[in-house]
Amino acid sequence: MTAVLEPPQSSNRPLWRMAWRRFQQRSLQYLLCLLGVALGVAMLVSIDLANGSAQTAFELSTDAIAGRATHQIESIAPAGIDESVYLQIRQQAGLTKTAPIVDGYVLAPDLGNQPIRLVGVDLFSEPPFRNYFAPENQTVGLAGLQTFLTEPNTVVLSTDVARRYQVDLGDTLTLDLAGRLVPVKLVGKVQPESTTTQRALSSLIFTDIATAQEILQMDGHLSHIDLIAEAEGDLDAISSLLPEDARLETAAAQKNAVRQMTAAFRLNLTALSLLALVVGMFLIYNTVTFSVVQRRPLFGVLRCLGTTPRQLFTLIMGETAILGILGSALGLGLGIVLARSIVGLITQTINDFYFVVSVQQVAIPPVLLMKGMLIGISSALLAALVPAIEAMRTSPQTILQRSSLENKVQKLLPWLFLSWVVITLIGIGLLRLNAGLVIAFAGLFAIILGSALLTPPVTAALMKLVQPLTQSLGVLGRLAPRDIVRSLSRTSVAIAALMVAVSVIVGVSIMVGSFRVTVVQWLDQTLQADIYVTPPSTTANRVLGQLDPTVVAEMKRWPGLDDVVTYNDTDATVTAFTYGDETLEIERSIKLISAEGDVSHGQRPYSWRQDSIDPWPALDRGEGVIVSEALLLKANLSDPPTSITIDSPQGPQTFPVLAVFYDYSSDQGTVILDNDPFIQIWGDEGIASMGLFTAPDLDLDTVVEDLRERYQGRTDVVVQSTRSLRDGSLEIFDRTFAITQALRLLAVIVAFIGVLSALMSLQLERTREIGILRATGMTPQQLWWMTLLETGLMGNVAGFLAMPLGYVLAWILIYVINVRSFGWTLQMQLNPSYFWQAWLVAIVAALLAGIYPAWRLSRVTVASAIREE
Amino acid sequence: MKRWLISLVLGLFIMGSPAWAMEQGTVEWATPTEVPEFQKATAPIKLSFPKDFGSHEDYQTEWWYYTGNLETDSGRPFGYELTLFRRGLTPGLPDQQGSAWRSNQVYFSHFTLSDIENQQFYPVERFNRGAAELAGAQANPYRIWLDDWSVEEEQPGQLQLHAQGLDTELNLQLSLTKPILQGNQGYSVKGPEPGNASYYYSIVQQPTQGTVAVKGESFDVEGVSWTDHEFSTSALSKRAQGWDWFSLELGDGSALMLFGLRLQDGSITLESHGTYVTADGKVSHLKREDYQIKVLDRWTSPKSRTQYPSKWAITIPSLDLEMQVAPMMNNQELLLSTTYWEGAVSIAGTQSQQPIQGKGYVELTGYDRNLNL
Repeated sequence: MTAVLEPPQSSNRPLWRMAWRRFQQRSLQYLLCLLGVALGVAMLVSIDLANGSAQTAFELSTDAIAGRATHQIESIAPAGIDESVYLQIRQQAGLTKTAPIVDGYVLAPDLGNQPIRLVGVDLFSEPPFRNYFAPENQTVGLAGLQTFLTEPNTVVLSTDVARRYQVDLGDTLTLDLAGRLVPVKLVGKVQPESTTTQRALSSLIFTDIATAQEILQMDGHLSHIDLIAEAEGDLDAISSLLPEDARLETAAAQKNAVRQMTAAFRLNLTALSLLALVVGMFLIYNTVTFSVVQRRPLFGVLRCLGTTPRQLFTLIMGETAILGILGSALGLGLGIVLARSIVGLITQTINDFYFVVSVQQVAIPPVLLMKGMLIGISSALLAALVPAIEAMRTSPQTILQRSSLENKVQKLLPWLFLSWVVITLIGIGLLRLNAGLVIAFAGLFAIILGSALLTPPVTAALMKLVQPLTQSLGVLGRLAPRDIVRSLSRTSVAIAALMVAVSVIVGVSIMVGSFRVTVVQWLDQTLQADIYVTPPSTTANRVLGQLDPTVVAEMKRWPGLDDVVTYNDTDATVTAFTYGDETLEIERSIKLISAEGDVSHGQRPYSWRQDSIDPWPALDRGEGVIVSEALLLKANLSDPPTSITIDSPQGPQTFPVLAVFYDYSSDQGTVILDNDPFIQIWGDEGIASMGLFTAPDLDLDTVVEDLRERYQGRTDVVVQSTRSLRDGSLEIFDRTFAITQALRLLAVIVAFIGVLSALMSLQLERTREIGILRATGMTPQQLWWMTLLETGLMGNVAGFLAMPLGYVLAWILIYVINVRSFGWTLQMQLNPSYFWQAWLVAIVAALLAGIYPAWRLSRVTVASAIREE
Repeated sequence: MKRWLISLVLGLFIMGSPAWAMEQGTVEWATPTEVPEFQKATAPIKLSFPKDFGSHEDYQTEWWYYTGNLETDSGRPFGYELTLFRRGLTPGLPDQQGSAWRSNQVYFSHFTLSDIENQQFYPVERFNRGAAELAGAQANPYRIWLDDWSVEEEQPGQLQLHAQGLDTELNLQLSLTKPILQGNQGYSVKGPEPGNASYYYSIVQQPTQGTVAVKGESFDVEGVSWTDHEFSTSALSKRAQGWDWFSLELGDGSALMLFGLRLQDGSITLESHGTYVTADGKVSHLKREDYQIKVLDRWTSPKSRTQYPSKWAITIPSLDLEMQVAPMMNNQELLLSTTYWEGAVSIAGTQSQQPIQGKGYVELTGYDRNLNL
């Protein structure tokens, strides 16, 4: 722009002063908007931080253990790598940048009763890899090493952890290994200088490798061997030495595998938090639109006085930017606070389903905060763009006409309807694309956005429809729907925000409800045994450790039992799916279950069976395996393969697939194999859990009592009835969704604030009109009625629209998102309560939001309300 | 007879190793529990072979030194050192019930190759525990090893040495000669305090042949090697500053071991002693007053800035022996977990007016000013 086209540039300062005055007058409205931005950003940031912290904690502790290793030798055999492999690598291959590790998870009741990683290191091979035991405090020196190396059951903790749990050198701690209690002595405290390393060490207990072998009962075996490969030849030398039951992996690949494992889970949470931001954007849009609409006369005057459109644009965007910055900053603070409370929920779920991680603190990487800030500010600016451009473009004389904007909206209605159709079609297209989770979520968001666009036309139509009904309520009844339509540009935004929030409630409720019903049915069908015997779990969802063989033997002879089924499991990798002659190479971590007997006694539901017959007899004969549907669905396979290949200690083994079963206990994929081939190939005869079937003529409770009495005082044997196992499983289920519930609640709060601020502005704006109504005889009570009728109507529209949208969301969540994220098929269960509860929420929120304006308006004196006339 | 070096090295093993110093931090260890005392060398014992070739876990420290001077056909000289140190954390061996890794024995090893022609020196160091077959020392069949570094008796009287560094490799066959008991029948007193002594024997003038490799280039070599094996629980006197130790193999087949234990004031202790072995194996012991060692020159290491003696005049009137000993190259300083100089030397002099020459190894410790006892 040049001075030729415009009058000499005047200062913007008067405009800013004006804005500041307006802010002072309407501070509540701005504060609510601020809060909307803040909450949206807070949710995003808190989820990011909590997710990140869990991930970082795991990666740090992995790094702390992997150190500078370029590769790791991993065991395929459940028992670990034979320690002679290490000796060969050092003595035959002469590779000394190798370090053996023996590690496992233990519960430490004295250290907050969290699962903690016990890492057995060999100090002599450590230096190239890890550096925690860096230069000594020069006094005790070698003597400290003496205890650590020579005395069994001695451990080293990080100074931080020791301080936190108030344990000191020489103290005895108890470690709980699946019920086996091992006392250990703290002989060293390690204090690395960098905080990163300190954090990494906070979930580790170090011991000498000998102690680790003894405590974890891994005599003769190593968990893995770290190595630093310096030359190509090194890897060849190692590969030629490796037995079948070990494999060489790059350190990066391992980290990536862990990342992949939780990717879907984390993306789901992020999407949920984005939803809150979307609602927040509605809110910003709303507030900015209002502030523009309300100032239209002012802007008209300003334009007439020579204010340029650019200055107006700058003013509006500037205001919004300030709101955005303040709101985002507040959001960051809130997000950090929130993250601290939800990190526990996220960690719990990760522990239940994926891997053991203990998050001692929320890491706050500046990058994540920047990201939150940026998203907050830019979404605020984006939301303000439409009203700002609108204000800029409108000519001074039309700006002065209050009705011009609403006229425009009325004309827009058919277009909005058309946009809904187009965007929804795009959304459906994206969902059908079957191209990964991010695309699916994009589709989901498109559907939501489309529905929001549909709100104004639907609202207008509905108001026309209800008018005959409300007319019966008299003048007020006629006024209310018309008012809503008359200020559609504002009312519909508030309605849309509320609708989106409520539909999320409906959708998530249906999804979680269906999920729960599905899981309950599945548990009831699968858990047919009467009594379950396991070691206590280190984490709730997984049995870590095995039963004492003498206990197993005794159980098998226990009188009054019809049948005893036993299970064992190990982590394994599926390397190929075979379809007839075609082989699909793949690499997927799975849980391999070795089964002797069917715990469901034939009741287990299958999604596919070969020749539609019970696969168990064939499984029992060792003729194949049955696989979980998650294994296939997460690999994007719809048809069951003819056979799968699993890496084993004796090389790759191929098994025909007999059936596909439902399994909601893991999203990584599960394969069940008969115990005979398992023992033969994997060489692990241990038993991790048992299911007992009592004879029908016996009283179940008596048997349980007898068993409990027999194993009283034994911390390593847990005897449970079916009911308590089932309840335990459902408890985990509910815990998993606690985070979902929390986020859902937050979305509602954001929406509520949105509605509150929208309705309030809407009503307050009508002060003059109300004044006239009051002057012509309307009582304060009638005013109350009218306000509440209007907000109630809006709540109704939102609730009405939210129901189909909620159903659609649930459908997408169940049949698209869940299947792609976790590979679980759920049966959709509709419960009327989901709908009417949501409706209720919408109406109550709207009514509550109407109370304050109604109260304010009813107290306005007529004279002052119409004085401006 | 080496040297308080061992205790120094082990004391520094955790403290000063560059590898451990990658990141600053501290470990605070609990005060160690009381352990039974190690046996001390207080009087002569009967050393018998092959039994005493192996380790003696009742004593705290032990070492096996192999040093030698080698030559290719064309006369290109190389020197080597392969040493295994043992340090017991508690006396005796742990009862082997649990993990095979349980150990109270720390082993570490130094391997150096001196490429005299190129003035290059290649020191390497390794650590391991004396358990799970990772490192150890056994008498019969004789084998001392740490990872893939080893000295093994392949057939009676024949030893195979193997060690490998990043740039170097050593594969030698040694023919055993008769062990020479140092001091009083192997009881070598180091100071006036009771127990400040060790059991010590040497095997000298062992014909050696094999290959050395430097940066991928392999050389067939021949020469002679010297073995020292010593074990003790000695605490050196506080006044001791370091050692100058000489193992000299003369051209006529005789061999000479001498050491001087230096005090802080630079004087040599009265207990310092030596041994002269004639070509036919006759042993005569040398007392402190029987020999004089005079430093003729000094060399300052460009890396550690430590100043070492670098030329000596040795006089032994009773043998009518006068000679000058000089490093084959100065650059033979080991900058490992501890800093010391140990390198190949050449000898020229006269005995009973007849010119004699030879080669040997010298170890110089305690010259590093940073190290205080």
